[in-house]
Amino acid sequence: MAPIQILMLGWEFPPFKSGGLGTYLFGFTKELNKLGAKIIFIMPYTGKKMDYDFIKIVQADGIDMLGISSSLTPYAMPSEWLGGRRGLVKSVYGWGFFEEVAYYNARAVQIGSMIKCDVIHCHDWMTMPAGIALKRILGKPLIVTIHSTEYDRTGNLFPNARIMAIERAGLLEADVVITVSNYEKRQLVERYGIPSEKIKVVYNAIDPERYRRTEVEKYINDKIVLFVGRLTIQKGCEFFLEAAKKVLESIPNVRFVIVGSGDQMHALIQKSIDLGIADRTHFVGFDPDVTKYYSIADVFVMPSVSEPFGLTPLEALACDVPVIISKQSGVSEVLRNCLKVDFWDTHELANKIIALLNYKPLHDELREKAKREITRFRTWRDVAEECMQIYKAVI
Amino acid sequence: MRIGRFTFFDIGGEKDYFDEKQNLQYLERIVRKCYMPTNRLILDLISETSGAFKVNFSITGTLLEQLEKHFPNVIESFDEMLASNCMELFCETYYHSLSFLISEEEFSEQVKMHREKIKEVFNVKPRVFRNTEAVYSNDIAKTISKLGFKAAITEGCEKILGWRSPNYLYKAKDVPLLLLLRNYRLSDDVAFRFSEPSWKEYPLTADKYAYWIASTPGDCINIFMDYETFGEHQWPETGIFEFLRALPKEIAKHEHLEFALASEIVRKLKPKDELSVPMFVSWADIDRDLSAWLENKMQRHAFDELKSLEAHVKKSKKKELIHNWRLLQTSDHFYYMCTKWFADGDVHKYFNPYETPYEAYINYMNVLNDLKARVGKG
Repeated sequence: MAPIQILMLGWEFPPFKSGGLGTYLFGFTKELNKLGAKIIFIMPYTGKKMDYDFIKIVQADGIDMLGISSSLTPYAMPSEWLGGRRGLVKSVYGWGFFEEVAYYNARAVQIGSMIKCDVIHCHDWMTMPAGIALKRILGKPLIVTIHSTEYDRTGNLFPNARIMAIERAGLLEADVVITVSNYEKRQLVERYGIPSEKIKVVYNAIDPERYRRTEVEKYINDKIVLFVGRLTIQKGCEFFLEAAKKVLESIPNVRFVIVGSGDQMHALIQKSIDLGIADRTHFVGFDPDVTKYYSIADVFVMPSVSEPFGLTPLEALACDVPVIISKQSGVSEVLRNCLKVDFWDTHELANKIIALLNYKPLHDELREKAKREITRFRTWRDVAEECMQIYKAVI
Repeated sequence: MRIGRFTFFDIGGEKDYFDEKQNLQYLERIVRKCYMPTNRLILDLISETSGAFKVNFSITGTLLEQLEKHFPNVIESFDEMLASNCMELFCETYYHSLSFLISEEEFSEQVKMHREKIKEVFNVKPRVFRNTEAVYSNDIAKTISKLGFKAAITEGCEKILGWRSPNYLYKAKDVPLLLLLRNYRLSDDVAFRFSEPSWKEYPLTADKYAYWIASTPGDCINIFMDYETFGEHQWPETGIFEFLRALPKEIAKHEHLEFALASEIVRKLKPKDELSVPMFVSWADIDRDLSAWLENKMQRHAFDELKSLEAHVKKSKKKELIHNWRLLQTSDHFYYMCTKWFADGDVHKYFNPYETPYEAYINYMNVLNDLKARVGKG
C-alpha cells in the first residue's frame, strides 16, 4: 500500500508559535511520519525558515505577490487588529484581521489544489474555509481537529459570531471531527449542534523528555505559586489572583508568579493592586523559556475557565511541580495525580494551594506519583496512531 | 462517620468535623437497602430452619450509637436474632479504629467501651474478638487475651498459614487464645465475585456453593464478609437475596454440614496447631497487611500526627474532644488516602467519597489541625 498523503492546514509550527498548537503539530506530525504518512503542511508566511525531514512545510507566502508575510494567530482579538492597538501581533499583510485570514485561505486553496493527497486535515477555524474549498476541489475527505473554539477563547463571553459561523461550517463539512477531550466534544455537541457520532476524541500527549527541572538560582526563600498562560479571560488568571489574596491572608511569605501576556494584562495588574497583593504578585510577561519558572515553583495552577485540553500542567509535572487544575479542562479527564477545582471556587483553590504549601507529605506524594504518571503518559506516538486509524477509516 | 468538607479556613472556627446530615443520609440508604431486608431474611431463615441457620455479627460502637438514635427498629431486629440463640456478636474496637497502633492502653479502652456498649444495648457479653479489618498479630493476641477473650478471628491467608488449611481451629502463640480463620476464597466468591459475569463460575447458585462447602475438607469453614454485600455491594437484581434465602436448604442437603456460632466452634473443636504472627496481617486486598491504611507518606504523616495527640487529648478530660479524636482513628479515613491503586489508574473495588486520596488527606489534616488547636497544641 502506498503511503498515506496528508494535506494539513494550520497556522503555526515551531519555531514560530504562540500557543500550544505548534507544540502539538510538531510532536504529532513527526510521529505520523514515522508511521509512514507523508505530510504537506500549509501555513501562513512567517519569514522563518522551516526545514524538517518529516514534514514538508509550505508557507503561504505569495512570493509572487510582493513577498508579503503574515503572522496570524487566532488569539489576537480583531479589535486589536482593526483598532491599531497592536501589542501582541502585527498585521503584515496590511489589512484587517478577517481579510488576512481570507487571504491566507485563498492562497492555501491555490497551493493545496495542486497537491495530490488522500485526506485533508485542518486545525482550528482559521484554516477551515480553505479546508472546505479543498475538499470540494480535490474530492478528498476532510478531517477537522478542534484545539479550541471561539467559546473557549472568549471564556464564553462575547464570542465572535463571524468566527463561530466559520467554525460551524467547517464542523458540518468535515467527515470526521477530532477533539482533544470529551469536554470539548460536549462543547461541540451542545453549542454547535454537531452530531456526537461524528466526533472522535484524541487526547493530547506530552514528550516528557523536553521538560526537566533545572537548577535555577532562587534568591528569595518565599514559596512560589505559578501561573503560565495567555492573559485572556479564557485562562482564568483573575481567579488565580483572588485565591492568592486568600492564601496571603493566612500565609504571608508566598509569591505568585504570572508568566504570559495578553489583552487582560492591564486589568489583571490593576486587580492585584486593588486586592492589595501587588507586592506579592509578579507579572513577568511572555517568556518562551518556561522551564526556568517551573524549576523554582512550588505549586502550579491552571485555573482556566474553559480549556479544551491544557498542556501546561503536564509540563509542570514533568518539572516536578504539583499541579492544581480547573475541572473545566480536557486534561482533567486523563490526569489522575493532581488536585482539581472548579475555576470559580477560589475558596477551594486557596484551600488547596495552602494544603500543598503547608503539608509536605502531600507535596511529596503528589510529586512522586505524578512523575510516575507523566513518564507513562500518552505520547505523540499514541496520538499519531489514533489519527492514523481515523484517516484509514475515511479514505 | 465520614468527615464533612473542612477547609483550611474552617480551622479554629468551631465547625463540626462530621457532617451529621450527610452521614444520616448514607445510613438511611444502607438501612433501607441492606440492614432491614437482610435482617428480615435472616430472621425468616432462622425460624424456617427451626434454629439451624446461625450467624455472627460484628457491629461497631459508632454504628450502634447511630442506629439507637435514628433506626431503633434495626436494633430491635438484631435483638430478635439474639433471642433466638442463633446469632452471636463479636467484640471489636468501639470506633472500628487503628487504635492498636496508637497504644495498648488506647486499644484496650476502646475494646472495653465496645464490650460495655453491647452489654448496654443487647445485654450480652461477647466472647470472641475480631479486630478492625481482621488485623492481627502476636502482640494483639496478647492484649486481647489479657482482656479476657477466649478466641479471635482473623484472615486465613497463606502468609500466616503457609501450607496449612484455614478450615481448622488454631491457637495463638504463647497465650491461651483460639483462632478462627476466615476462608477468603469462599467468602470472596460471594462478596466480590457473585455478580461478576467474567468469572467462570458465574452465576453462583446456592446448590453449587453448598456443594463446594461440602467438598471442602476441614472442621470449620468461616465465611465472613461485609454485611453490605447483601443489597448494596451486590444489588438485589443480582439475585443475592435469593441466594441467601436458598442457602440453608442447600446446606441441609449435605448431612455432614451444619451452621455454628463462633463460640460453639471454639467450644467443640480442638486447635490443630499454633500460629505465630509476628507481623500484622489483615483481610485487605492482595497484600493482606496494613498497607491499605498506612503506606504512603500522607497516611503515615496523618497517623503520626493523630497519635501524637494522645496525651494532650486525654489530659484535657473533655469528653467531646476525646470522642472526636477517637472517631478520627477509624480506619476508613486512612483508606481514603490510599494511593496504591489510585495513582496508576488501576481498576479497583474500593469506595472513596473523595475524588482523590489527596483530597482525603487535605480534609483530614485540616480537621486534625483544628483538633490540635482545640487541645492547645496548634
